[in-house]
Amino acid sequence: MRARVLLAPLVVLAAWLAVGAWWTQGFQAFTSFAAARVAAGPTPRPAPALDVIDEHGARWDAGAPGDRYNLVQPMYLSCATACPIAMSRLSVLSERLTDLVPERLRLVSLSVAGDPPEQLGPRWRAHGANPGWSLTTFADGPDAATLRALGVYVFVREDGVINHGLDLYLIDPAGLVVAVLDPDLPIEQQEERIRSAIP
Amino acid sequence: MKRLIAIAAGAALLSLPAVDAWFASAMVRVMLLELPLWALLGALAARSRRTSWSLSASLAALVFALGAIAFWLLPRSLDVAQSEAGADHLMHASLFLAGAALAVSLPRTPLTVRLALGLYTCSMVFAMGMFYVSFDALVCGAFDRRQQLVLGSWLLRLTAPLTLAFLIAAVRGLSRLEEVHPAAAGATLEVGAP
Repeated sequence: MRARVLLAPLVVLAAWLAVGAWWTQGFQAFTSFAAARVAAGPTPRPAPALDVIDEHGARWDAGAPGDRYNLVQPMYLSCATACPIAMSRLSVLSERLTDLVPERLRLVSLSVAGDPPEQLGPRWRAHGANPGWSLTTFADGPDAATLRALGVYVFVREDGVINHGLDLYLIDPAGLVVAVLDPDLPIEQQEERIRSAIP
Repeated sequence: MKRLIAIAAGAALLSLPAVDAWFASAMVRVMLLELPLWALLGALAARSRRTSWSLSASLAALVFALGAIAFWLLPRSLDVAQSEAGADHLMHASLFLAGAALAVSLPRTPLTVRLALGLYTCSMVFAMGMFYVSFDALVCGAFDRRQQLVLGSWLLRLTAPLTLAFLIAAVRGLSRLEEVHPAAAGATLEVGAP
């Protein structure tokens, strides 16, 4: 009798668990930021083509195989909240990695907002004109699909604010994303993870 | 009939783009006004109809309602509802149904289950408040940190009156049960005992 009473509720519960497991990708991703990270796949994985223009107007692919590692950080220039803090942290990270930057590792801040290339130079100089740190924007305007493929969630709000993932993506010279660094990790741990990924 | 017309009018009002946009402009409005209002409309609609559901169907409805509420409390679900009209409509419809399911199922649900649900709801409101007040990172991409903080502080403010209301309802429910079935009151609380 009791089992029959519980049958229908258990079926509904099982249905909700199935929906929950599907929606959270196996109960791993409860936020949009985490969902984008999980959906991009485990590392190492091929990096998407990141066709960018940098602060000097040079056009190149930050995701393509090359002669060094790229550490890609999503940002945009008019961001008033998280990006300035993240970029300051990247600057500190660069100072701690002087034995790697710029010969073996290039830091790449990538605009998620399609900032015009001519605005990148002044900001790059304001950050100390670091030769190992490029400020870039997509060559053909904002590219949400490419950012999603990289693992970056982007939400453009009606007030113009862009909420986006702040993870750092380490792309090796073969064009593989070999590490995704939590932006909230202490800088020492970020440095350790980068050093352990670069032989 | 009048009640159903009023409910339909309420649903139409909540669906107006301007009203929907007003809710969507602040996290606290979505979580503490929009979601409960849709559930309330559903509950009112269900109460206007006489139903005689079995205990099994009532419990299934209760599980459906709890699942729907939990689903739309996920940050990812809230983000999708804010960015896609289809998901927004789905959220409205499912919370309307959740409210209806609660209205149908709760009166048939054993008192011990209702007490557990009430206690769980109060503790979850407090836990969510603490989470949104203290968590450093942005949880919902559709909103901002300041809005998270406002929501968290409102949830914490609501915890005390909600818990008080729950305690009053619990005492009244237990007293009523004791008056009607003095032996059953104790038995209900001892479900699962040998």
